[in-house]
Amino acid sequence: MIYFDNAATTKMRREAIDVYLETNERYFANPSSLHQLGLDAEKKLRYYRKKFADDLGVKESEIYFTPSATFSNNLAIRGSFGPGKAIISPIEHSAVYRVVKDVYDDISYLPVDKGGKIVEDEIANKLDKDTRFASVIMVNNEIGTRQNIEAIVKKIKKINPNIIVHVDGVQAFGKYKIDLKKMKVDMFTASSHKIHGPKGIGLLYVSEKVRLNPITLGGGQEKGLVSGTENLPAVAAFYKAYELMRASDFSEVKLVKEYILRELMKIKDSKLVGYEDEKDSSSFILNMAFKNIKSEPLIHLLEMEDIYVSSGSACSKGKDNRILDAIGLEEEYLDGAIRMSFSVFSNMDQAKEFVICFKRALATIRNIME
Amino acid sequence: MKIISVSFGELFLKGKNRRTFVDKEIRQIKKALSDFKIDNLYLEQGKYYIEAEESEFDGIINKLKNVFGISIISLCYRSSKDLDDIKKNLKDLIDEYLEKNGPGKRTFKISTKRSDKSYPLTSPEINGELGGFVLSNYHDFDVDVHNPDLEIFVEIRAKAYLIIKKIKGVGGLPLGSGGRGLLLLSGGIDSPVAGYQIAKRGVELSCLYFNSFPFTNQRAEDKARRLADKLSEYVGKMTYYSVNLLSAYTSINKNCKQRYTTILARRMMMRIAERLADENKQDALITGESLGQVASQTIQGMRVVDAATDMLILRPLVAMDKTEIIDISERIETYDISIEPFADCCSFFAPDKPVTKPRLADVLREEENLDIDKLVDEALSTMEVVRIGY
Repeated sequence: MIYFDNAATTKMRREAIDVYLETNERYFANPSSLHQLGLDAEKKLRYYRKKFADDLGVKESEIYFTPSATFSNNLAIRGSFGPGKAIISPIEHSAVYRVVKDVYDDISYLPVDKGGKIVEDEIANKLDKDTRFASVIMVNNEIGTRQNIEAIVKKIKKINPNIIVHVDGVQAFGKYKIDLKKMKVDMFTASSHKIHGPKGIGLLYVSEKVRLNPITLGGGQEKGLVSGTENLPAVAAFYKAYELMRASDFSEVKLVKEYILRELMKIKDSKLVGYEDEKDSSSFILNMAFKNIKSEPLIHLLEMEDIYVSSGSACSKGKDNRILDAIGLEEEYLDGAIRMSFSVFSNMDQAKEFVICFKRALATIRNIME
Repeated sequence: MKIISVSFGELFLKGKNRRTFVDKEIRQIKKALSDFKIDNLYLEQGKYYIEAEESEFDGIINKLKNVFGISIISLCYRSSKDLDDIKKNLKDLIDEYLEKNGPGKRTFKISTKRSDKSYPLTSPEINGELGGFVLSNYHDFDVDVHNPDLEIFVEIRAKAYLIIKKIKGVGGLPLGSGGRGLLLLSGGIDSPVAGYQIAKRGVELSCLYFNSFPFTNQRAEDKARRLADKLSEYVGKMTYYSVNLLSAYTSINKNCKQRYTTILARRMMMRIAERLADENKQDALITGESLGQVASQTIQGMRVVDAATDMLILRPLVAMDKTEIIDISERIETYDISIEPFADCCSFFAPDKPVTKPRLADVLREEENLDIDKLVDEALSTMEVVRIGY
């Protein structure tokens, strides 16, 4: 199997499963329970909270565990809502984009170039004293474009230091050294299942300067912001996956991406969507578009060879191409965008086999459609 | 004791064939009730009676509501024809009614049908006798023959029956009494309804689904399968055929004017369906077409499609509005499956401006560029068969 759909989700790694099972066996009790077992679980939860906080350069009290990155984004946006305007990039994930659209009436968009990079020189023109909230996706999930968060935050805060800046770091988390204090962001969202951890667990960093209102009510866990019994086994496994990710060597992933890009660019009427350079693009995501083809049949032909990729956008006629539209991808390429997303387990043998099968499948589709 | 009775409705029209129809109907009822513990079943003067534990009644009635050929399902009390026995049941019936609806002033009416003509009392006499019984035992009850709160039907047959409640059945004719048909099943709203409507007239169904893998996905196929599963809850056993139409689409795409893609593909589907129907002794094709619904479903389009084969093509929805079709699909619970958003086989090759009033001569000219027999063979060679509800 060649699984190049890791931006959708990853396979949980063995070490994380083991930690999950061990924690579930020993610390199954409810951290809120008064008895000793409850206290043991609470201590364990605190231990992982501190581990994440230390690694991200923030305080333990600023880390909240959530049921998903989507929940984190909703909490960050809805929980901080108040009078004023919002500004976001047009290439935010739906879990930010749709929520901001839902709560704010006045929204402006940070301009992006053809590769999806925010045009930093134009940020100042888009903000004013009424801007309350900003959200930027650190690595875009469809095209892999990576933003220079530190520089962007600096520019935003220079115009109005009161703007609450949220960063959706789902596709970046674990893949870069992230120092939240240095980045000066107010909130940051991360997810476990994109880095071989379990599904159903995410994280939200909330600077102590930001006051959030709860968006769900219940037992008052996570200081009232994430009611519901804490998912300690998932937190433990999430940390394990994160720790191993941080200790990994990404040199082979880079080679895989470079090789596939180089080879597929040789195909007639192909183009890279996004950037090539590591500075501007995640090594884990490669989006390429092929003129006048449909990505879906290509995906199905590849799946017949046990190869799994995603379409680079919602591909069927009349459907939403929000992100590819935002970067102005030419119409004849829109249906033919393919996203290949890698993991630390991707290797050059897979890349070579992938290229052979991909070229063959693409030729088949073009032959049918021309 | 309480008992369920079933009336066959239209079967009365069937003259000399009635016995065969009734036998088929009884077979369908027995099949529908195979999961229930039934104590006794019997036919009495044209009605079919079911004895079972009272706790099973709701389940049995719900099941019978979907059996084609049943016009009315009734819940009744049965007793001997002795008037005292009938009165005992009548008392139970009224007590139960009062328990359910609370005490207070009520009006009632007794309507007797006497098929046992040797019975010593006439129908009006029975009405009088039983009405008198109610009036003297229940002082809050008055007679109102025009608009009663409670109408009690009495039937004097081999036994006496008091009908508590009448429930409308689905009607139609018993499955298998009307021959065999092949339904062209897409993933949409219409075709399952078309199949249902025709099966209701007693036709045994098989269905044919066209995929275009890899241009359509397994989710679309799975959706069609689930529609067929749902349909088979009403129509019983079905054979489900899935045929890949991609080579036909490819050939049309390469060799013919794009505007004709849809009509040419539909003609190919009919030819493939005809071959299949001939092999499997199905006498008609059934489609979910409705006039004017989409570009290809015009009167001219249908005529050109008809000309592709010698088959009888039944289009039960042809004159129905979309809202009427949706109502039925909601009732038979195919609607929620049908509206799931997966591309069906036409959408990838669908022309932007399809021809809406095709002329046969033009279509035939386009088809000169196709090797039709070869394409039909190729499509049939991809066929997969699934038996549903066996």
